[in-house]
Amino acid sequence: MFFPPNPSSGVPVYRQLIEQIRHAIETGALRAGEQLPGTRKVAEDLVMNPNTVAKAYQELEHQGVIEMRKGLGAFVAPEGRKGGDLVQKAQPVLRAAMDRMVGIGLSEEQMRRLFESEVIRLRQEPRRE
Amino acid sequence: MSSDLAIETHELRKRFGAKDAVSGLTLAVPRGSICGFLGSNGAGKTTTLKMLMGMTKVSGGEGRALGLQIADARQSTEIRRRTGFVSEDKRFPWSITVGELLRFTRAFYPGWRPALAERYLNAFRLPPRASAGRLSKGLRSRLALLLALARGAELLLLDEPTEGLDPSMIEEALQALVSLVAEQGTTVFFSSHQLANVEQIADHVCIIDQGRAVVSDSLDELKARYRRVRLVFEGDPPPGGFEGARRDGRTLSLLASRNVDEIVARAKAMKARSVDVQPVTLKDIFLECSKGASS
Amino acid sequence: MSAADKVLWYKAWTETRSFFRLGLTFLMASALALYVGYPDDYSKHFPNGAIAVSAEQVRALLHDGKAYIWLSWFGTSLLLGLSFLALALASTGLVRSPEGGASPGVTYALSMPVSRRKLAGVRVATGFLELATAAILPSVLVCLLAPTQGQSFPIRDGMAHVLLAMSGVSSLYGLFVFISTVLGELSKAVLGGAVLFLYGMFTFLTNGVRRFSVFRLMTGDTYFLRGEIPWLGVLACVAFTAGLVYASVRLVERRDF
Repeated sequence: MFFPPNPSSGVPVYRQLIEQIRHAIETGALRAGEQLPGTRKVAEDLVMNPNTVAKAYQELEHQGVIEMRKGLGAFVAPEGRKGGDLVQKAQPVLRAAMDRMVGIGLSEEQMRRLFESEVIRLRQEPRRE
Repeated sequence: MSSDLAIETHELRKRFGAKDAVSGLTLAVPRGSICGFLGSNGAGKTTTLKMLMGMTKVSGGEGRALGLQIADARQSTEIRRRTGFVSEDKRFPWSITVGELLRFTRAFYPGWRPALAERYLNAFRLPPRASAGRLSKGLRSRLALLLALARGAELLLLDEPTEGLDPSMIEEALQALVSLVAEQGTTVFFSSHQLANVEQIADHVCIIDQGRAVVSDSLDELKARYRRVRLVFEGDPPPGGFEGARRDGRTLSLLASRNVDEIVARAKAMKARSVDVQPVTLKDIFLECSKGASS
Repeated sequence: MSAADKVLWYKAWTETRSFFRLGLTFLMASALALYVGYPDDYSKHFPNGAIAVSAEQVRALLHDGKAYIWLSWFGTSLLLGLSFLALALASTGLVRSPEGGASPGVTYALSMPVSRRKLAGVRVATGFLELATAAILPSVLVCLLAPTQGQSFPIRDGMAHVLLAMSGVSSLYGLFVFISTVLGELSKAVLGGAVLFLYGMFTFLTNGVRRFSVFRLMTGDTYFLRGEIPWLGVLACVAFTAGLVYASVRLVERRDF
């Protein structure tokens, strides 16, 4: 499904793979909810480092493009919940809040702890869709 | 020392007579990584690998493989029990066949993988009844690699594993390595002159020059740090402006590591007409770092 | 014995079997030849003495068929055959060449999870076992065939002589192993051969040294003449051999490859 990345191009290999996967999703080669080939298979087929493949998958999961399901593998994220877009939307919100916190005088450590405690609070409350 | 490093050395030294083949080598190879070990001929690669395998005695410093001391005889034997090795010298002893050699080797490794051995016998096109002592160079490399791969080892130390192989066999070899790492989390530490191959599968690189490690880093990070910078000036470039820069008329070119922003800022301050920053290949980095090469 | 140990012994066997087979064949043939070419009048044989037996002694002894067998076999054929076999077996050692150049297979052997002591030890022991076999089998044949010429050489006596021959040749073997460990491949074979030759000539020619020569021990004249085994000599040989083998193994352990 994918073709071997070019190691000598200026773009890091894991980034090239990320682009290929995104492209595959855009062109319909991979559909929402479909399973991606395992990292091992991709590494073997493309003859590239498995850690690099894993790194690409992790980044895509972070961006919300794919989901990793424990024990099952990697799947394309369902339609309508394009994580990437969500993240892009959220960033200015968080940035504004953080700028204000800096204005108040919070340190980096304080901001981090505050954020984590808020995440925990969210977990305990029912999620509003 | 931590156990998430497959190999770590600290100021490792090897002296032969009056000369240091390895003079203060410090490197760290994470477990489960594929690490390319680069260096010019005579830089100390083979000596380092032999020290890790306990074949050559350590003159100074210390080293560990899989958490075990390389300089201790008993621990070294244990290292060899868990390590697959391809040496620079790929000749085999005795007039026995390939098949017999496999059976012999198998006896020493409880973790031997017969399915892998079978698979690579076919993939590498090794005739089981051929005499091991009389193989061609390419077949020898393949046999050496097979013996290393099928051992069920946690660590592979390979000295020029693709020597003498044609491109399709090289691809088979690289694929075999990648497959082993993916499946078992084996660490691969291999020296090679074929930078393209290293660039293809390695995620970590160590460069040794005149017995010292000049680079020991993840490949992605190396490539992120290094940049080719080309500066064009209106008139003659200012003298002594940039360390290691090559001058070509009004153009200065250099390989920058880690301080690209500073260089760009200075170039602009010196009224450079054009500042061009490009990514680099592993070859660029290697050539830059191996200045003290074999002349 | 683990599978790995078996392989080590087998490996040592494959490295030495050609020389062993050659030596054994030669000795068995010599044993046969002794009786095939058995002379009617043996008093004319060994006019200049045997390797470790002077001409006068020979003249005194050679009225008796058993003495002829003893001089021909234990005094000459077996002695020479074993000595050269010892040289050949020691030349195919673990260490083929000194630091800086490994011969094929040394690298392979050293990458195995086996201590060098074990590698070298098995190798040396295999040589000993092969020497012993090459000493015992043809000697038994010599004893068994004696009646065909109307002589009697009891196996018990034969084995006593074999014991002495083995004690003596062991020290030669130990010496050659040591030389081959210290020097390179080509030179050691040549050097070993030269040592052997010179030593043999020396003892052959000079009466005084003969008493203490290893060849005299191997010939076993005190046993033949008086039924006495020279235990002191045996002990000295064993100690010498052990010392040299130990030194060789230690050298291999400390070497760079």
